Amino acid sequence: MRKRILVAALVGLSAFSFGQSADIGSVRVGLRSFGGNEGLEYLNLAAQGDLGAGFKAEVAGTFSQTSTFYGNGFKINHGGNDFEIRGIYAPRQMPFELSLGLGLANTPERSEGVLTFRGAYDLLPVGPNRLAVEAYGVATPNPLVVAGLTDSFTSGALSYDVSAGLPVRGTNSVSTNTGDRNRVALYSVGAAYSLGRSSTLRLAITDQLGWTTGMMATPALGGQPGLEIALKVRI
Amino acid sequence: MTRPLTYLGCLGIAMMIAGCGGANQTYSPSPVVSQPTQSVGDWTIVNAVNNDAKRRLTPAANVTDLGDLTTFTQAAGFNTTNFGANFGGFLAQSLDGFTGTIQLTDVPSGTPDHLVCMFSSATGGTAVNGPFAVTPTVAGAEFFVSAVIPANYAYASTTLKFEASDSTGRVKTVEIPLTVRDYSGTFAPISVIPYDFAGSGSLVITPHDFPNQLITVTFDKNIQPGDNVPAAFDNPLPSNVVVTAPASPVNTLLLSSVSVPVYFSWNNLPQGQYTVIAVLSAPLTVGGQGPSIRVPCEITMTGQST
Repeated sequence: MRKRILVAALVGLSAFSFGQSADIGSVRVGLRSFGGNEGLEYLNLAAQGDLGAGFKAEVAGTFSQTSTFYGNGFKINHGGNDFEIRGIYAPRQMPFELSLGLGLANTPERSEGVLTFRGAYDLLPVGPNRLAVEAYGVATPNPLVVAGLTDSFTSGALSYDVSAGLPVRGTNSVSTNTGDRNRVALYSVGAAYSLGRSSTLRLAITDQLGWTTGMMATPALGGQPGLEIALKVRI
Repeated sequence: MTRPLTYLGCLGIAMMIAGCGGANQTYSPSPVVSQPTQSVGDWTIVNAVNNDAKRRLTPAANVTDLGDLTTFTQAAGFNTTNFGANFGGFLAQSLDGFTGTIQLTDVPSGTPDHLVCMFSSATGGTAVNGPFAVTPTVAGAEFFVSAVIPANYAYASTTLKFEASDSTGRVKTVEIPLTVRDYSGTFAPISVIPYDFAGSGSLVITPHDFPNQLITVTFDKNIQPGDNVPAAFDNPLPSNVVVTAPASPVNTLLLSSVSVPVYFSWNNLPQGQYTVIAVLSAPLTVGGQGPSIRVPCEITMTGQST
């Protein structure tokens, strides 16, 4: 029931903020399912609106239950919820994208507000292939910075994307062997199919927990991949 | 306008990255690391359920000590029938240096999956749900801990948690994680006619808290007092009647009921009402076979077959 309310709230917020005219924003909903040590499902919701002049605003949430992994002499509590509001600056004539956000984490590790950031620089700004270097993470408190590469290619109604990143500051996971905090690589391989002009269906394999920046920087326990199915609707 | 904003954004990010410090912290996973561990004995679980839904508990391979003393780990080869002695001994050893009689009390962990701890001085002794006294010794005073699992318990992971304190106010808290396996089975009674020489019914297995269990189905024609067989059906199925469940073992992939066909065949079965007990069992996480569930399967022969 709470998830339904959140979906309705996100859709309603989009409609309220950006009106009913075409292509002024988008709403996304997705589910990521992880087996293995993670063993949780994550519901992801996001609504983004174009504010003009290269500015966008996004609200996003990642929601899951919490669970406990039992190791030899330790346990790891994991899962949880995260909510984020981001301001995005992505001018059309410049090959970069920057965003700053305010997150509200409710996870076993954090129950606090966080300042988040994302940045990407296009190395191939022209053509169907987009290759970019990117960095994202939590700026404060307790910084977590991930740096990596992302690549996407569009061909007709299909598009493909792949990304990989590694924490360069802070830790983003806990070892299931030792119980120590560690750094785990993040990856995603996805394919999206355009269902007409306004909708896109995406399937992906990834170890990243969710769409908020904090959850995007967090892998499933052990880095095991999960499966995502997501729908994006432009409004 | 864009260039100033670009510089401003980059500057902001650089400041945040460079300026923030603090303790190392992940975003979601949070480790709770225990102190060095010792082996612990087995468990005795007080089973408070009827014959169609028993529970098996498996301590996971760690116990977290939130105090400043010792912790425990589960020894390999765990079985569910003999818990307590070593555990009590180690706890008392860990309290060596404490003065006087140690009071043990149950501590609600605040999580919905907390189980109530009960203490006793011997296996099978009177369980005490509340303060329980133990005298620490170098060798360790033995005591026993048990718990009641509510019917249809929905949590696959749970904890027993209790606290020890001495007369000077020193406190030790111990939390013992467990894995619960809870499933039940039912069989809708069937009626058969003599000259079919065969019949079938459905045994429905319902996992309550843990998916992906590999449940083995066997049959026992010896009815036991605790099987709760209706009086009219209190007749063991004759030995010449063959009962099989070819689908066994059954994998409960999801937390939903699984229907298992049960086949009966006979050459000569007198008119009457009979019962055969379906025995459901699943392996423990750490090895071995856990306690079984006994599900009465009632069959009525409507006429004489010979």
